[in-house]
Amino acid sequence: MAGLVVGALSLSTLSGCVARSPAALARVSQPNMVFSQAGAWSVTSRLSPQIESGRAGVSGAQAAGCTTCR
Amino acid sequence: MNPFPIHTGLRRILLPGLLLALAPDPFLLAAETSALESDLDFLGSGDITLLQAATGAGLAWGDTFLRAGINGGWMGFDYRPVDADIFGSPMRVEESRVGASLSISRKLGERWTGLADAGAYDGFNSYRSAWVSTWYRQFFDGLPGLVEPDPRGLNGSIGLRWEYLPGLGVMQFEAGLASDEIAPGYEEIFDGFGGLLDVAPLRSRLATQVLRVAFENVLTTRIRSRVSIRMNDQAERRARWTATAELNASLAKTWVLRVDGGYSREQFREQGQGSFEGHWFGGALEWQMADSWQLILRGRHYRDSGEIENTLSFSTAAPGLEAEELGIGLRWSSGAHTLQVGAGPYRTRYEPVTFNTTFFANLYRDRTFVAAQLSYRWEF
Repeated sequence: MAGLVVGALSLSTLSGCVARSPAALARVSQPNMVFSQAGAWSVTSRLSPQIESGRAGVSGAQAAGCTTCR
Repeated sequence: MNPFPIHTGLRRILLPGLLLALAPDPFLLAAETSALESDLDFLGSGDITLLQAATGAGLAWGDTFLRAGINGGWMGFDYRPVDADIFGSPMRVEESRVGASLSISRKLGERWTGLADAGAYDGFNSYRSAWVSTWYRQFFDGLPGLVEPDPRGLNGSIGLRWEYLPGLGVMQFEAGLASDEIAPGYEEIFDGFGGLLDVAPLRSRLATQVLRVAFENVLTTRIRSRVSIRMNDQAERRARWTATAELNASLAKTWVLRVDGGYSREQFREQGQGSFEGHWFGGALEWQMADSWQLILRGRHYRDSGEIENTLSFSTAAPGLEAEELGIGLRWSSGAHTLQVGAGPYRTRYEPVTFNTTFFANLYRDRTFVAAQLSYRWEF
């Protein structure tokens, strides 16, 4: 997990080299290049987290019953 | 007397608290524009049908952006007990869910934005929860301690967004709480001769704390990335950590590649007793084939080690899962209007159930679903 944090922080430092003019950012500003929450611009499955516990992200997925059996 | 000894003391059987997970990832660098959005999702196999719909409106008003939405879901499945379940009988189960959400963001300065959101739902969030609940209702039918499940929940979060490189780099931190009323598991009450007298419902309310930090960056003039780390902490469990990474690359003027992956891990409460691990990756290739039309091909793979359980005789925990999804989509965008449709197969393959989970062999069996989505957005 520490590696992931370091990796995330490292990525965050890479932006400094990018030109900031609107023309230079035209490509990365296209609607399908943006991380939008709009379903019309997203390709993420919204029902499969019911099945895929890891993606759901909530501890104790809905059927993980016996983690605290006495 | 019950011929199948059930481990007593199940504390939590059904957690429909997926709302936090279902909540969309937040905007980071994307401009927040006033818009009306509607989404419809379908997932169906021969015996299971899931539908989900959501609609919402966002309004930009000066330095404030407000979004309100309502959502609902419907599920129908043919419940089928295993042959060894002498108390079970096949039946059709149908459940519905309604929910609402409200979020607000407001500029606090040139580079800072405050965030807050809240949500509520009523109903089963997952067909797996409804399936297990049906098993309990049939297995303990007639006992006075059996309660009618009424799953529902509330959640909320606050956060702060820091644009440390204007237009190029953003960090966002969120802290949230969720309270879920779940369909409970049951503890069996025996008489002095081992006969089952009654059952007592176990924990029916769960509280979850969530912390999340995300970074979005424009790495080059053609590549945009987003990484996030999330911690979900629930009473009586260790925290579950989830890390995700996404990359959007403009390969050419008319081609965009979107890739993403993630890893999730939860250690069991006691060292050396296993852990839950899951990972996934996927990608989508988008081709602008005409002025207003885009063709989308996408694929995704998921694998996990199976949910954690430590019982000796009975469990509802899902065994290890491997899943793949393929899809093809079409997006039409003209002016303020965008419409996207997509469909494809989604296949799930579970590891075999064990003695502990044998009652749920029909729930955790391999299936091939058809997944379909329809989304519309109008910016105004």
